Amino acid sequence: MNGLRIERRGAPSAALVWGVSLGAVAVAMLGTGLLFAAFGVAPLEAARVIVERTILDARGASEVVRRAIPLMLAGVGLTLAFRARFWNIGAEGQLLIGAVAAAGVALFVDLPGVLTIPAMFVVGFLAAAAWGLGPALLKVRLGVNEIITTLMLNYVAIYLVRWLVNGPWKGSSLSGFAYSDRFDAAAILPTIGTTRLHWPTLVLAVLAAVAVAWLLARTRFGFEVRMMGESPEAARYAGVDFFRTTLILVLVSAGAAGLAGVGEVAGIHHRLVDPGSLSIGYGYTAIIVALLARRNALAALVTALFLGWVAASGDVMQVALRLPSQITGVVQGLVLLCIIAAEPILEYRLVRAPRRAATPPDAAGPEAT
Amino acid sequence: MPPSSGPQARPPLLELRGVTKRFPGVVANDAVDLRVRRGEVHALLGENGAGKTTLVHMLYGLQAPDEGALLMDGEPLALRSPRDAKAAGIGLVAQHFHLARRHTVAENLALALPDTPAWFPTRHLARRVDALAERYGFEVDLRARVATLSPGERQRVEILKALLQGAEALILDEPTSVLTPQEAHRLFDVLGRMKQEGRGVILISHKLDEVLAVADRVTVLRGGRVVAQVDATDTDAADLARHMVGREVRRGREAAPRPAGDVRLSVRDLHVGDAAGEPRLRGVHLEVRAGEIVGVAGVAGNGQAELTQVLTGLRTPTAGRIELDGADVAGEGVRDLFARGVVHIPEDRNDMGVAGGMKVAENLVLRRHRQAPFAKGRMVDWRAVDAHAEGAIRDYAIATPSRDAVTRNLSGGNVQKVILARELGGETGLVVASHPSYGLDVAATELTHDLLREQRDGGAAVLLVSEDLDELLDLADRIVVLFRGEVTGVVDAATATREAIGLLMAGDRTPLGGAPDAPSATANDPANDPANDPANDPAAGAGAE
Repeated sequence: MNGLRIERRGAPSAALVWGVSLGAVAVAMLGTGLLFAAFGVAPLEAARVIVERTILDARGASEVVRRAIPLMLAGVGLTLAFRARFWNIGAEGQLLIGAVAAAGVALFVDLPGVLTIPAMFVVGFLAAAAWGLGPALLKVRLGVNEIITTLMLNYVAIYLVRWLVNGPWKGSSLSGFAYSDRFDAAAILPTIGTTRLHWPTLVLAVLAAVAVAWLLARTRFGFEVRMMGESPEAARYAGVDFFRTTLILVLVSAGAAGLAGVGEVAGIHHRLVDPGSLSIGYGYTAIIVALLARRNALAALVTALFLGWVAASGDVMQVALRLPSQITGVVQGLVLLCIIAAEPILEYRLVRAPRRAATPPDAAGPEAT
Repeated sequence: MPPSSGPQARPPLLELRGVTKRFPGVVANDAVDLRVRRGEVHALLGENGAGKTTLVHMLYGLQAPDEGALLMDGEPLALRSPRDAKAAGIGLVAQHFHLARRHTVAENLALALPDTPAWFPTRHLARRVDALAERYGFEVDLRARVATLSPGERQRVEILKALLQGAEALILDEPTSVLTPQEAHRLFDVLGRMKQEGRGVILISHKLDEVLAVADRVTVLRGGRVVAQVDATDTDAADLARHMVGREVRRGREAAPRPAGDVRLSVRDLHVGDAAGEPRLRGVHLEVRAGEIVGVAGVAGNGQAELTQVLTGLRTPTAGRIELDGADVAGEGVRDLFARGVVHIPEDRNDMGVAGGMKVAENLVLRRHRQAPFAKGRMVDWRAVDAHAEGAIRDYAIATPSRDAVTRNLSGGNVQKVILARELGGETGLVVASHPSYGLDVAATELTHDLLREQRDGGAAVLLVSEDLDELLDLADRIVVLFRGEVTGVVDAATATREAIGLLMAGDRTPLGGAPDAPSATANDPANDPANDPANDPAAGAGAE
């Protein structure tokens, strides 16, 4: 019987990686179209409306970028953690903690005006980094699975923010609303024109991506991080200090998510708000950003823009197409699903099986050399 | 020999006629002719990539030839699957056993038989197995779980399986790689009995001495072609090696040019426990001098892995002293020891020796990236890394498409060359080499051995852990034998016999006059492991067989 056989391939080429990634996204978009049809919205018409209001419209485009900013920062941080196979699922909580710390500085610390914003970023970074410290220590010292600890800490962070805005930090002027007081002008980030594009955070995100890419490619630390991710046994043999390396990379990864949180409170909300409004799941979407970027920090800038576009399109779908708000989550889920489903294409290839051969996988192929 | 009824007149048991098998870009077998007669052990020799495995796959129905014919007892044979092969009377004992580890021997045998009843599958087995076991001198506990069996015992189960399936021609793929010399002898006795019964055996091996001792005929494959087909009595090891490699191969001992120097490594009363706290090394004493190769022999799992891990800093000893040039280094990590010149050719070359997904150039500096010229402060100087890679690829003849190729895609021999180039390319004080030639072909093995000798001659102390006794006898000056975490003896490699080492490997100290080896006898010796298994087995094995 003639048939096909699955075979492991070598390193996939860059073209193949791009092609497969774009293909996965295309399949996800196709699925989204079917979803639209199911809701009684003509897919092509929907696409036209979305493109018109997100990409072709200046204000719409600015919304895409402003949605992308937190995704870039958190996503870039995650590419670093994921390179070492530290599966940080806690960017959401780390982002919130960064926002809390920045709000704390804005609300309660008296600083000269020009220092307020830098102080908020620094404290936000450090607080989020400290939030990531627990899972990092538990992993390297006791072997506790970081996926569980980082994920669980998200809920702790969510309830911490909720408690703060309903309790001790609840605004004096806003009885009835779960907000903190509004920040002083010195604690508010400038935006471009009348848009909500807080450009200092965008600059920071690009710098973070460049820094992480440089760290991985050029430094001994980055080399060791990649070693840990590629082969923990080889890293142990090479004398990599797992404790120190994991700690540093988690601090950077979590800290970057914290910066995203600072940007959201200082650039968009200007106060600490309910966690559900503060982050529309940026920390989780950032996981897709990092994976779609294939753990490449610079590519994460591009994939963050793409998922920022998905999020901004979600707003359009709600307003202009009257689709439920959950549709954004469904589209993101589709994208992630397609990327993961496409992964085997990068690792294996189909070849024609030898004639009349019943080949168990371990006996296939020519003599191993 | 009567001309009419002689073996020449009868068709051979198994015959390949002009068999060719092509894969994209390579001719794996090129017009191969092979005749295996009844009552014959036919050895198939060849380097990695010579086409042995493809040939076996075709004989066992895993692949179909593109051209040529397969005949059994003169009848053409079309094998579409291993099932057909088994039905035709062809059995295979693969290198990696195909047994369900959690199941008993009886269950595994029942699984392999076509006429096993659906209910109580193992009930009718005992009688058949007993008869076979008696005929071949097997001892098999049908109720034992496969996981608890030694490699030798598992192999006997595989052979039993093939015999129960009615194998007239049995193919054995590298059968002795997991056995002690004594176990290998028992295997050869079994093969002898199969010969007497008129069955045929195809023995795939790269151990030349073994082939010469057991086989009647030898076929040598190189590059997919048969390059020699000779009677075992008409050839010798050097001749066969030349056919395999296609050129003259040096074999045998080569003494060091000058006597060994000062003690470089001194291990005193070393104890190591595993993760569960079970002792893995129990009071080991060991010395390696500069300019000397000390071999460590033992059946797998007797503490060799733990010894190399402790010496290279991958594991912390529970007690004892490790001195390097007089300094106590016990408990130091990989990094410190590497900086002291302790290099390591690890047993697990694909997962530990290299990071498979990284570039060849990166793997060539995997442990040296903290040293000049590769480190520039906290940066890596990639230009120096690349320049070094170009040099190493040239000097060690590493076959790779480029220095940027993914290391995982290299062949085993070339991965080992990457490791050798990295570990031996710098300053070395102590070389710890663990199974350095395992799975390598003759040429790569030769290179590995040359490099280790070079290290010795250059004044390094070399500790060579191997399960290949020929390798140890060829290379080492002294051989330390480990059994259950203890040193059962130290022998001079120039005068030691394989048999003596084999007994020591099984924990029997009679080769040393029965007296326990003075320094390694420890107080906890009798306290451990009540006689539950192999302890008394080897003595019986050696006496009886």
